[in-house]
Amino acid sequence: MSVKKLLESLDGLGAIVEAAGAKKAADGLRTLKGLFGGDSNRPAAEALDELRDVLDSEKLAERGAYLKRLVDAGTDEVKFNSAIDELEKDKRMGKEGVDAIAHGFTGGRTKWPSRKAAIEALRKKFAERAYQASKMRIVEKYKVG
Amino acid sequence: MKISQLGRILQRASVMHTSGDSELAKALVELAEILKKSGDAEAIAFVQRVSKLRSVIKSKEVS
Repeated sequence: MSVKKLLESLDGLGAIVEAAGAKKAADGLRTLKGLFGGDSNRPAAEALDELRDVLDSEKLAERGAYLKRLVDAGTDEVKFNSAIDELEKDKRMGKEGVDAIAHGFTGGRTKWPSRKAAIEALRKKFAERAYQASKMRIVEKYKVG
Repeated sequence: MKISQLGRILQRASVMHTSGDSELAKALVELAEILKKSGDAEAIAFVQRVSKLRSVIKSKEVS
């Protein structure tokens, strides 16, 4: 099936919902046609795969950016809290995304029972690292020679 | 209208085609899934975002 047919279907569906009085939904459905640029004769499956790839690349970039901020924060609590508070509020980052970030940060498991649990794991790992770093600073102070 | 709502409309619409055009039904379900997984943006903003992402990807491929 071609992209053209999928676009026609969106048009048809738009017309049906508009006739039923849902103008906003009709406009929304027509707007979605903008997701499929390029050759309208190519297979719809191919266009959907491409769309998925585009969105996946965005997700990976966003996850990478959060992970970098968390890692770069080191043991700086202000920087870490700023990054994790933002991550916690970011609705685009679903459970899967937060799991991936937590896995990258902790180097441990790949999944947590909930998004909240993954955020907690991040906080816990940061606290552990900060504690270890402060312990090492004390040890350094008492080093002889 | 938000893309999550549009995803639900497409999901329902796909049912109408399951006994007739199964390929179209499948494509509508797939598009619905993509929309549902893509957060809660307004349709226009989402389409603009995708277009921008495509440009970024294209420019990376060129360079």
